[in-house]
Amino acid sequence: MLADPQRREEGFRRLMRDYGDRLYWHIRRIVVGHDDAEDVLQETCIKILTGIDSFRGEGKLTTWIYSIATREALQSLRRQTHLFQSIDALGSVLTNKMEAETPLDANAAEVLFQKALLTLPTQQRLAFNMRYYDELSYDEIARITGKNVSTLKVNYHLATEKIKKYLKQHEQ
Amino acid sequence: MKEFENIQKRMPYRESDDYVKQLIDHATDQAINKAAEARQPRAKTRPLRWMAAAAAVAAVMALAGIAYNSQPTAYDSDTLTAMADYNDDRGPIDDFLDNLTDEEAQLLAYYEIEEIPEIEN
Repeated sequence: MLADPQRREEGFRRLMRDYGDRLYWHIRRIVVGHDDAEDVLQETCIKILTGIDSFRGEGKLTTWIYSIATREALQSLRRQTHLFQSIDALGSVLTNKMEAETPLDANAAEVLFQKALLTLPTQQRLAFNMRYYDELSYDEIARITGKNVSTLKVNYHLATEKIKKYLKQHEQ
Repeated sequence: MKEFENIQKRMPYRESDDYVKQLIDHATDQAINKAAEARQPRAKTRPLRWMAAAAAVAAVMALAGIAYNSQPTAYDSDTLTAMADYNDDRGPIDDFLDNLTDEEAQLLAYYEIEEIPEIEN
């Protein structure tokens, strides 16, 4: 339906109805702030719709839209860095955003878990998010991020170890 | 750690499902509009862009022509003769100015109209 220019709009609406929610939360987990997530989602939608002709159908459509969303979200993080600063250095900025957007009565364990996640380097955080929250396979994550599967497995393993260590240190 | 097993995949953000759905609908509509805009105005604006580019090129060429014409050019023999005749046609004021010393020329240059004394009849 998306490949047919006459029915593209209808196909796009259906795609967003089915995957929009997952896309939003995938983006939100990367950029953390709601406003940033909204902007990135908007940009992702435009890129999907205008770039659909470049999708050759070799892989899954979901993998393709996830890769666009991931790229746009990382681009949004890069825009927040200073000159020559890595996006890994944004941990405290993102933690502040998360705390600012968390209601006062939020579950302390949920907040602490997110804080632990935001201490991770971006690649480990990405691997963890996509495996744990989005339940994507390593093959799919590899296609989305352009990393190889063994690197992703190491990243995921390191991420879980660091999260456990952080939670243990901050558990009351 | 059991506490963290209990939270499962929940996050501390409180955007409701309805709110996120509205957001997605809005993003979808915006993307469709933007994609349509990107397709249509291109055909309309293309002639305008060409016209603007042609006008810019014409303006640059006109400016270059003006700049070229305002440059001193090599004079032909008739013009040189006329200029020589003009230079020969000197009056007493030219001799006066030629004979001014540097100090006198400077005083003349700084002379202002307010300094001319009023003539009393």
